[in-house]
Amino acid sequence: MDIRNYFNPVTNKSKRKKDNEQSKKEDDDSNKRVKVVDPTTFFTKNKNEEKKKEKSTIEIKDSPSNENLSKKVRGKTDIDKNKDNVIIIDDSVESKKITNKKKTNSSKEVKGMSESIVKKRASTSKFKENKDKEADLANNKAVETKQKEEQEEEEKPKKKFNYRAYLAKKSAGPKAPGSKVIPKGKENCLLGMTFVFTGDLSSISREDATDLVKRYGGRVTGAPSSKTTYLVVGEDPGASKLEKAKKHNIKQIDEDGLLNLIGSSLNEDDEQESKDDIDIVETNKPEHIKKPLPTSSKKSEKLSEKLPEKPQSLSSIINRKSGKMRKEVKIDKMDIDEDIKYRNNDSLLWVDKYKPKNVNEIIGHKTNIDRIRSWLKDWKSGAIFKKDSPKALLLSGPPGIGKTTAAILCSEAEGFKPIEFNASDARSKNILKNTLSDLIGNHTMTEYFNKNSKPNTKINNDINNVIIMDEVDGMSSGDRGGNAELIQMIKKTKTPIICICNDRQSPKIRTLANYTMDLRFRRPDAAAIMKRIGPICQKENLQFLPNSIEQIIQSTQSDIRQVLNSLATYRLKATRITYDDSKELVKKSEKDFSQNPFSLVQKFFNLSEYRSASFADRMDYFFEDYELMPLMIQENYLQISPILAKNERGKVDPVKALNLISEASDSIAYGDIINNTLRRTNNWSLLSVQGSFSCARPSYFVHGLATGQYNFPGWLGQNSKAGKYKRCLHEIYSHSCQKISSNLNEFRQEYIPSLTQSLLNPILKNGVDGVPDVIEEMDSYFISKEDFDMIMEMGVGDKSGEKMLKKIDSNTKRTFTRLYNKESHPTSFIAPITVNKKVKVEKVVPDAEEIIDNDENIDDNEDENEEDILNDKVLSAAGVKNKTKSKAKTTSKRASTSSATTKRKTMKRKK
Amino acid sequence: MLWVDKYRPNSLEKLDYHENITKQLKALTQLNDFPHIIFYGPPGAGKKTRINCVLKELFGSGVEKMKTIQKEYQTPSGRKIDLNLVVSNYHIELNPGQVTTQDRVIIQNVIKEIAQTQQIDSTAQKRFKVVLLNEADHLSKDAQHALRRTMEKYSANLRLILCCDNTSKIISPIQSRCLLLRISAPEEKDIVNILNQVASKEGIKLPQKFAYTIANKSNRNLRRALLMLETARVQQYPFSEDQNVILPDWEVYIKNLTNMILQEQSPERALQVRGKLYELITHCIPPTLIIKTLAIELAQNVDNQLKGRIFQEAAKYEANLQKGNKAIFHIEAFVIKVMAIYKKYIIDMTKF
Repeated sequence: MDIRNYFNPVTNKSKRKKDNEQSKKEDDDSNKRVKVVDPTTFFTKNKNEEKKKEKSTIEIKDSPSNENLSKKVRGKTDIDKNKDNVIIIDDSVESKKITNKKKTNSSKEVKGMSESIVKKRASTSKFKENKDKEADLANNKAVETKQKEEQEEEEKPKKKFNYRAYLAKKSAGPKAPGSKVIPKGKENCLLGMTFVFTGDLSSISREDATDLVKRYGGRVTGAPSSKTTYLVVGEDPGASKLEKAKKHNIKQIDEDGLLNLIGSSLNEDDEQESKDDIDIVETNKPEHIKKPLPTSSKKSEKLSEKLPEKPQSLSSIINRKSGKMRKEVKIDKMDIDEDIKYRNNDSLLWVDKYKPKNVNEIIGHKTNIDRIRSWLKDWKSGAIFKKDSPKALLLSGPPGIGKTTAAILCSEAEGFKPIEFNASDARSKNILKNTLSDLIGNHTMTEYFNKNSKPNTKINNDINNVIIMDEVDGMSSGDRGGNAELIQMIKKTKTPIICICNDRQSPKIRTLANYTMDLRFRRPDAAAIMKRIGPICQKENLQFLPNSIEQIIQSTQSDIRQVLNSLATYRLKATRITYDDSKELVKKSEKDFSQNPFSLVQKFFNLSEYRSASFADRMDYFFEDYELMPLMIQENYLQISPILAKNERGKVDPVKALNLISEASDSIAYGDIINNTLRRTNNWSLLSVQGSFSCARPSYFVHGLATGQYNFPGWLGQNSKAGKYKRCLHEIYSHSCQKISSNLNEFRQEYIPSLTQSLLNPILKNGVDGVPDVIEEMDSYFISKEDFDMIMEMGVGDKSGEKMLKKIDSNTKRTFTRLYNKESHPTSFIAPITVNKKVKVEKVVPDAEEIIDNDENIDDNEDENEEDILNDKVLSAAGVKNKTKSKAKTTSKRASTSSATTKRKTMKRKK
Repeated sequence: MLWVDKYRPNSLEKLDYHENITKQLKALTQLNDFPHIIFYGPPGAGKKTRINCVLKELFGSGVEKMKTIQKEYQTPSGRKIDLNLVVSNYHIELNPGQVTTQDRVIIQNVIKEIAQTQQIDSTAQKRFKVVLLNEADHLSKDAQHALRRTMEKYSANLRLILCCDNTSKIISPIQSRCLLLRISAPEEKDIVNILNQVASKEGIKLPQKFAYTIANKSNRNLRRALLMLETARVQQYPFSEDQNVILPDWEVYIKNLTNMILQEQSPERALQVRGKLYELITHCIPPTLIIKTLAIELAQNVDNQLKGRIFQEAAKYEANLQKGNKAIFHIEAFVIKVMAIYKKYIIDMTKF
């Protein structure tokens, strides 16, 4: 079936007008007759059979050369009320077909059409209700979606369900997967139908069912409305949905009904197809070539020129499918001339080839574009200097949605010349200064001579530059100071500056944002992109289904560039894209996007995702981030209830579960050993082995239902915490190691608990009076106040110093701190720098707050220092060759210390 | 100051037990040719005390005048390492275990620096200086190899004293260059004896039964015994005959952990245990000690049939832990393994 003309916008446009006219007429027409004026229009209408059981007739006036063709189509079981639908088709193509065959293409088109006509019945059937509103509804999809949203909103408060349970249920998948054979249906047999699912289907999951419907061209919506064709009812259906369905008189079918619907389509079409087959045989064209070869498609193009009334029916269906798409499609810029020009230029990427050429072609962002333009207008008029509005713009939003394009096109539209700087240019402070200062400041000689003139506005009018700083969040380390310089420039600029970034929350942007006007670009919706992608595909001779393109758009999260790139790649090998193809395409390209660790963990553990992935897939997930994934797995594997642990009765066997988890934990531990070996020996070929042990293997043992949320690895935090405590322990140990006999580990294991006791006990028992005892004890081990706090934190459990410290009242603590700071304390340390400083301070400004060493201590120090100097001198005399610089430094420092102390000594003597 | 440090003997004459070793040391110090020595033995046996006594015997009380200095060394790769040295005029004390990866640089620099200078104090009894290496078993193989040549080359100026828990991690070339002295843990009666001495010096009454309880609980670790005595004194005095000995915080914590494991065996419980294990590891309790203590505690609380199995698993996971990097993975795997074994055992028992 040829769907190339789904989006023939010109005809769509005219058709839409006609549609409106028709519907108006229709409303007036009491006989429910529909008059179709235009030969290119195909229209079906069925009667209000429910009440009158009349036969509905659609007359279509035709161009003179054609005759009328009418077909009577038998209704299917599910729409038997519409048995008496009479559809009159009028088409030049049709006539040709009857007058016996032209080209295969045309006959094929006709075939496709007739199929679609059959499908059409379904959609028409729902018109029987709301007859009055029909015209409006048919044309206004927005109203419908609004309704739906309202319905959904209504539903929400009513239902009060456990989300966790729902998730678990959802992830559990269908009860009896694969128990039913999913029939193969005729392509697009569900075209134009809208389905709503409620409850759990028994043989296929909701996702798969949605896929199934979409594959055959149907639509799936969340809540039933008057447009809904079928409500597929599964087990445990939602009450509100059923109610709605009743209200709208929606046909309810079960899972089998859906499958039958698809299955039966094949049989039904066989009759017609056989007819068509004969035609085709007569034209000696092989029917089985479904994908038209480039040559044949060219022929079809020629044909379409001759026959402008090519299958409009399909486009009309599409129009009805999505109200938004029915909105006028603007591609007047891409007229045929230009198109031919493009075609000659095959070397261009699609992205560049179909780049918007003016502001109107940009998809979405209407308000943002308006704001940019009005801002630029302000610059032009000079109002920007009066208004005190920001001198720069900050456009932010995800990649591929047209920020840069919008910035450039808007500037061009307003008569500015964009000068773009992006991450490929070095943007350090100096470079920015040098290159941009000319642009932002623009001085002219007259400025200096004529001081009375107002240079600002005038000059800007003349120059008309716009600086576009692209990817400002990508200012890397090479662009040092670039951001600050940019802000400085913005402050004094006389030229508009537009900054563009992806990540608005980035800390680099935070300061910049204060000086700019913030414009956030959101992802345009799929329908808006469709409007543009459709014609492009058409031009590139790629046949597609709306559902399939939509799928790609969704998977790329509305990244237009990405969509075009994937389609361009796809076009290389085929001219036609079906729903399944697009799914495959999406799946393939999905791997290329980096995924967040949480969704990756889910892929390892979630039952259905586990089943759908192969070992190789799991290795790929591991390689997504081989540092983090093992940690993610380790963090979360205990939160899974393993499916393998279930016994025959479907209950979890605790021993089995523990054994499985034990296997998983063993495997994770082995993964750690491999990781360690890998790093020690630099043998990175082990990485894949680690992947299988750390990630793939554990997921085999424990995949199943998640019992909680997936967490970020706690190991990272714990590791840094451990590092901190270790450092502190070293610190305390190095202070007190003169006085104690143990090594570091023993110090922690034996000394710390006892020290905690003996340090806290005096103040626990005697309160404030105990403080001197504590300080004495601290001094005996050279423990400083910081060390004291650390010792308190070092303990674990109920008896840790931290918990005991809480029992001490704040007054005692205060006294303790005060008393401790008041006195001086001996240190085991000779820390040259601090000693040096202290002595100097004391000498120059005697400060009561400063610690005053007692005389004994100083004398001791002096002796030691003198000895030290002696030592050092000898050392240097001995001519140590490999004496490091730092060593020399310490020597000099010590020398200065001693000189300071001797000075002090002399001062004392003077006293 | 804690009793354990307050009443530490500071000369060879005051040492209490291992009289044979004391005699031997005394004889060694009399000789002009003092050898390199490796002191090894379990913690709390008195290695460090004996080393200090030997140093005093060698150089007199000048050795006790110690200070800590901080020195900065630069590795060939340009990294700077800060090292704390405890020095006197006659000896220098190193804890190279602090700088795990780059200890080779430290050894090369520090020891050469010292070795290349002669003893300057002409009044000193000996012509050599002493380098004391604590935690010598934590030295990397590279560092140990760096040591072996220095030991021979500078033997005129330098003697090494190594102190470690066991010699298995010290390479044999070094062992062959040293005199190996094993300081075994004091026997219980020795400990009780010392506890009584300390008690009488402090003027407190120590019931003999309690002294024996402490000696028993201390695992023949004298330091531990003395610290326990002091902690008990803080907690409750006068002592009663059958007073509870207060265990260190981490031991109590692991005991609680054991109870958690034996009470319930489930993934949820394993998750809780993980939290507790993290707490221990971050607070500087060595992972090996955690597994060891856990295994002992578990074995004490399960049926005989399981004891062997638990130790077997503990040994396996401890060995893996040494090869690995992230200790928690291995300890957790051990805990879950024990849970699985125990759960199966319990369920099998209830079936009969």
